[in-house]
Amino acid sequence: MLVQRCRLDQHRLIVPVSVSKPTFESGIFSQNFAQSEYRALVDTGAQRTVISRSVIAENLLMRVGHMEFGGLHGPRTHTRYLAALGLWGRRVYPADSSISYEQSEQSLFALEDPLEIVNMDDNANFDVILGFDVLKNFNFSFDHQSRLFEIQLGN
Amino acid sequence: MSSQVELNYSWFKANLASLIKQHRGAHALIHDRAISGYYPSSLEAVTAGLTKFGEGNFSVEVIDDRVEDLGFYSHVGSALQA
Repeated sequence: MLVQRCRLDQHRLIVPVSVSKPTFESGIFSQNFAQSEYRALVDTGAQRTVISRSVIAENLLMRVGHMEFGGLHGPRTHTRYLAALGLWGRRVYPADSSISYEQSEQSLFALEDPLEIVNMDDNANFDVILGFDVLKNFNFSFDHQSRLFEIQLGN
Repeated sequence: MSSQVELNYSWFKANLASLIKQHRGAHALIHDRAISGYYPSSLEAVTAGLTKFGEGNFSVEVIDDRVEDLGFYSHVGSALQA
Protein backbone atom coordinates (compact mmCIF):
# COMPACT_ATOMS: atom_id res chain seq x y z
CA MET A 1 0.00 0.00 0.00
CA LEU A 2 1.31 3.43 -0.97
CA VAL A 3 0.59 6.02 1.74
CA GLN A 4 1.68 9.46 2.79
CA ARG A 5 2.08 10.14 6.50
CA CYS A 6 2.75 13.47 8.12
CA ARG A 7 2.60 14.99 11.57
CA LEU A 8 0.92 18.21 12.59
CA ASP A 9 3.18 21.20 11.94
CA GLN A 10 1.90 24.26 13.85
CA HIS A 11 -1.60 22.79 13.67
CA ARG A 12 -1.24 22.32 9.93
CA LEU A 13 -0.90 19.19 7.81
CA ILE A 14 1.58 19.58 4.97
CA VAL A 15 2.15 16.83 2.38
CA PRO A 16 4.55 16.75 -0.61
CA VAL A 17 3.05 17.00 -4.11
CA SER A 18 4.22 17.56 -7.68
CA VAL A 19 2.58 19.72 -10.31
CA SER A 20 2.95 19.74 -14.09
CA LYS A 21 1.29 20.98 -17.23
CA PRO A 22 -0.78 18.22 -18.88
CA THR A 23 0.01 17.63 -22.53
CA PHE A 24 -2.79 17.16 -25.06
CA GLU A 25 -2.32 15.10 -28.20
CA SER A 26 -4.87 13.41 -30.46
CA GLY A 27 -7.67 14.12 -28.00
CA ILE A 28 -5.89 12.53 -25.03
CA PHE A 29 -4.26 14.12 -21.99
CA SER A 30 -1.00 12.78 -20.65
CA GLN A 31 1.31 13.95 -17.89
CA ASN A 32 5.00 14.00 -17.24
CA PHE A 33 6.24 15.15 -13.85
CA ALA A 34 9.57 16.71 -12.95
CA GLN A 35 10.97 15.57 -9.63
CA SER A 36 10.27 18.92 -7.96
CA GLU A 37 8.22 18.74 -4.77
CA TYR A 38 5.87 21.39 -3.42
CA ARG A 39 4.36 21.83 0.03
CA ALA A 40 0.59 21.21 0.06
CA LEU A 41 -1.67 22.19 2.95
CA VAL A 42 -4.43 19.63 3.56
CA ASP A 43 -7.68 21.62 3.80
CA THR A 44 -10.94 19.65 3.97
CA GLY A 45 -12.85 22.96 4.00
CA ALA A 46 -11.67 23.97 0.53
CA GLN A 47 -13.97 22.90 -2.30
CA ARG A 48 -11.18 23.24 -4.85
CA THR A 49 -7.40 22.88 -4.97
CA VAL A 50 -5.42 26.13 -5.04
CA ILE A 51 -1.87 26.69 -6.33
CA SER A 52 0.40 29.69 -5.82
CA ARG A 53 1.12 32.08 -8.68
CA SER A 54 4.84 31.22 -8.72
CA VAL A 55 4.20 27.46 -9.06
CA ILE A 56 1.65 28.14 -11.82
CA ALA A 57 4.23 30.25 -13.67
CA GLU A 58 7.06 27.77 -13.09
CA ASN A 59 5.01 24.95 -14.63
CA LEU A 60 3.45 27.07 -17.42
CA LEU A 61 -0.05 25.89 -16.51
CA MET A 62 -2.76 26.62 -19.07
CA ARG A 63 -5.34 29.26 -18.19
CA VAL A 64 -8.87 28.05 -18.94
CA GLY A 65 -11.30 30.47 -17.27
CA HIS A 66 -12.42 32.03 -14.01
CA MET A 67 -14.31 31.19 -10.85
CA GLU A 68 -15.79 33.22 -8.01
CA PHE A 69 -15.19 32.34 -4.37
CA GLY A 70 -16.71 33.63 -1.18
CA GLY A 71 -14.59 35.24 1.53
CA LEU A 72 -14.64 37.54 4.52
CA HIS A 73 -14.56 40.60 2.28
CA GLY A 74 -17.07 39.39 -0.30
CA PRO A 75 -16.66 37.33 -3.47
CA ARG A 76 -13.30 37.26 -5.25
CA THR A 77 -12.61 36.20 -8.81
CA HIS A 78 -9.78 33.71 -9.33
CA THR A 79 -8.32 32.40 -12.55
CA ARG A 80 -8.74 28.67 -13.28
CA TYR A 81 -5.87 26.65 -14.70
CA LEU A 82 -5.49 23.07 -15.89
CA ALA A 83 -2.91 21.06 -13.92
CA ALA A 84 -1.65 17.53 -13.51
CA LEU A 85 -1.15 16.71 -9.84
CA GLY A 86 0.67 13.92 -8.07
CA LEU A 87 1.02 13.08 -4.38
CA TRP A 88 4.23 11.61 -3.01
CA GLY A 89 4.01 8.55 -0.79
CA ARG A 90 6.00 5.64 0.58
CA ARG A 91 5.17 1.97 0.38
CA VAL A 92 4.08 0.32 3.64
CA TYR A 93 5.29 -3.26 4.03
CA PRO A 94 3.87 -5.89 6.41
CA ALA A 95 4.76 -5.47 10.08
CA ASP A 96 7.25 -8.36 9.98
CA SER A 97 9.21 -6.78 7.11
CA SER A 98 12.63 -5.30 7.79
CA ILE A 99 11.75 -2.20 5.71
CA SER A 100 10.15 0.57 7.72
CA TYR A 101 7.97 3.35 6.29
CA GLU A 102 10.82 5.85 6.62
CA GLN A 103 13.24 3.50 4.85
CA SER A 104 11.04 2.79 1.85
CA GLU A 105 11.61 4.83 -1.28
CA GLN A 106 9.28 7.70 -2.23
CA SER A 107 6.94 7.17 -5.20
CA LEU A 108 4.65 9.60 -6.95
CA PHE A 109 0.95 8.77 -7.24
CA ALA A 110 -0.39 10.81 -10.17
CA LEU A 111 -4.09 11.64 -10.44
CA GLU A 112 -5.47 10.06 -13.60
CA ASP A 113 -7.25 13.11 -15.02
CA PRO A 114 -6.09 16.73 -15.23
CA LEU A 115 -7.45 18.93 -12.50
CA GLU A 116 -8.84 22.44 -12.60
CA ILE A 117 -7.17 24.52 -9.93
CA VAL A 118 -7.32 28.21 -9.05
CA ASN A 119 -4.55 30.66 -8.25
CA MET A 120 -3.52 32.24 -4.95
CA ASP A 121 -0.87 34.70 -3.86
CA ASP A 122 2.54 33.29 -2.95
CA ASN A 123 3.26 32.75 0.74
CA ALA A 124 6.11 31.35 2.80
CA ASN A 125 4.18 28.47 4.37
CA PHE A 126 2.91 26.34 1.49
CA ASP A 127 2.63 26.28 -2.31
CA VAL A 128 -0.62 24.37 -2.74
CA ILE A 129 -3.90 23.98 -0.83
CA LEU A 130 -5.17 20.45 -1.31
CA GLY A 131 -8.97 20.77 -1.43
CA PHE A 132 -11.74 18.22 -1.26
CA ASP A 133 -11.81 17.93 -5.06
CA VAL A 134 -8.61 15.88 -4.64
CA LEU A 135 -9.07 14.50 -1.11
CA LYS A 136 -12.42 12.90 -2.00
CA ASN A 137 -10.53 10.34 -4.10
CA PHE A 138 -8.71 8.82 -1.13
CA ASN A 139 -9.19 7.28 2.30
CA PHE A 140 -7.48 9.38 4.94
CA SER A 141 -7.35 9.50 8.72
CA PHE A 142 -5.89 11.45 11.64
CA ASP A 143 -4.74 9.83 14.89
CA HIS A 144 -5.08 12.46 17.61
CA GLN A 145 -2.77 10.61 20.02
CA SER A 146 0.20 10.34 17.66
CA ARG A 147 -0.81 13.52 15.78
CA LEU A 148 -0.29 11.48 12.62
CA PHE A 149 -2.21 12.06 9.39
CA GLU A 150 -2.30 9.26 6.83
CA ILE A 151 -3.65 9.30 3.31
CA GLN A 152 -3.88 6.04 1.35
CA LEU A 153 -2.81 6.66 -2.21
CA GLY A 154 -3.01 3.24 -3.83
CA ASN A 155 -1.89 -0.38 -3.79
CA MET B 1 -3.32 43.37 -25.03
CA SER B 2 -6.07 41.36 -23.30
CA SER B 3 -6.01 37.60 -23.80
CA GLN B 4 -8.84 35.56 -25.26
CA VAL B 5 -9.60 34.32 -21.72
CA GLU B 6 -10.03 37.88 -20.38
CA LEU B 7 -12.03 39.15 -23.36
CA ASN B 8 -14.31 36.12 -23.21
CA TYR B 9 -14.81 36.58 -19.46
CA SER B 10 -15.95 40.20 -19.88
CA TRP B 11 -18.43 39.05 -22.49
CA PHE B 12 -19.54 36.13 -20.32
CA LYS B 13 -20.20 38.33 -17.23
CA ALA B 14 -22.26 40.72 -19.34
CA ASN B 15 -24.38 37.84 -20.64
CA LEU B 16 -24.54 35.59 -17.57
CA ALA B 17 -28.05 36.66 -16.55
CA SER B 18 -29.53 35.54 -19.85
CA LEU B 19 -27.40 32.37 -20.15
CA ILE B 20 -28.35 31.20 -16.67
CA LYS B 21 -32.06 31.03 -17.52
CA GLN B 22 -31.56 28.04 -19.82
CA HIS B 23 -28.13 26.64 -19.04
CA ARG B 24 -27.56 26.87 -15.27
CA GLY B 25 -24.81 24.51 -14.18
CA ALA B 26 -23.46 23.88 -17.68
CA HIS B 27 -19.89 24.62 -18.74
CA ALA B 28 -19.73 27.02 -21.65
CA LEU B 29 -16.97 26.76 -24.23
CA ILE B 30 -16.34 30.33 -25.42
CA HIS B 31 -14.38 31.40 -28.50
CA ASP B 32 -14.08 35.00 -29.75
CA ARG B 33 -16.78 36.19 -27.31
CA ALA B 34 -19.40 33.69 -28.51
CA ILE B 35 -20.61 30.38 -27.12
CA SER B 36 -19.24 27.43 -29.05
CA GLY B 37 -20.97 24.75 -26.99
CA TYR B 38 -22.36 23.64 -23.63
CA TYR B 39 -20.84 20.69 -21.75
CA PRO B 40 -21.71 18.79 -18.57
CA SER B 41 -18.15 19.03 -17.20
CA SER B 42 -15.37 21.52 -17.48
CA LEU B 43 -12.85 18.91 -18.62
CA GLU B 44 -15.13 17.93 -21.52
CA ALA B 45 -15.40 21.58 -22.51
CA VAL B 46 -11.62 22.09 -22.26
CA THR B 47 -11.02 18.95 -24.34
CA ALA B 48 -13.39 20.28 -27.02
CA GLY B 49 -11.73 23.70 -26.87
CA LEU B 50 -8.23 22.29 -27.33
CA THR B 51 -9.41 20.13 -30.22
CA LYS B 52 -11.31 22.89 -32.02
CA PHE B 53 -9.27 26.02 -31.28
CA GLY B 54 -5.96 25.13 -29.62
CA GLU B 55 -4.43 26.39 -26.40
CA GLY B 56 -5.00 30.06 -25.63
CA ASN B 57 -7.78 30.46 -28.18
CA PHE B 58 -10.78 29.66 -26.02
CA SER B 59 -12.02 29.68 -22.44
CA VAL B 60 -14.49 27.73 -20.34
CA GLU B 61 -16.81 29.35 -17.79
CA VAL B 62 -19.34 27.80 -15.45
CA ILE B 63 -22.86 29.16 -15.95
CA ASP B 64 -23.77 29.74 -12.33
CA ASP B 65 -24.05 32.62 -9.88
CA ARG B 66 -23.12 30.63 -6.76
CA VAL B 67 -19.69 31.14 -5.25
CA GLU B 68 -17.49 28.33 -3.92
CA ASP B 69 -15.46 28.23 -0.70
CA LEU B 70 -11.68 27.99 -0.68
CA GLY B 71 -11.51 27.03 3.00
CA PHE B 72 -8.39 28.40 4.68
CA TYR B 73 -7.62 30.70 1.77
CA SER B 74 -11.13 32.18 1.62
CA HIS B 75 -10.95 33.30 5.21
CA VAL B 76 -7.35 34.11 6.05
CA GLY B 77 -5.69 34.19 2.63
CA SER B 78 -5.16 37.94 2.67
CA ALA B 79 -3.01 37.60 5.78
CA LEU B 80 -0.61 35.37 3.84
CA GLN B 81 0.35 38.18 1.52
CA ALA B 82 2.34 39.94 4.25
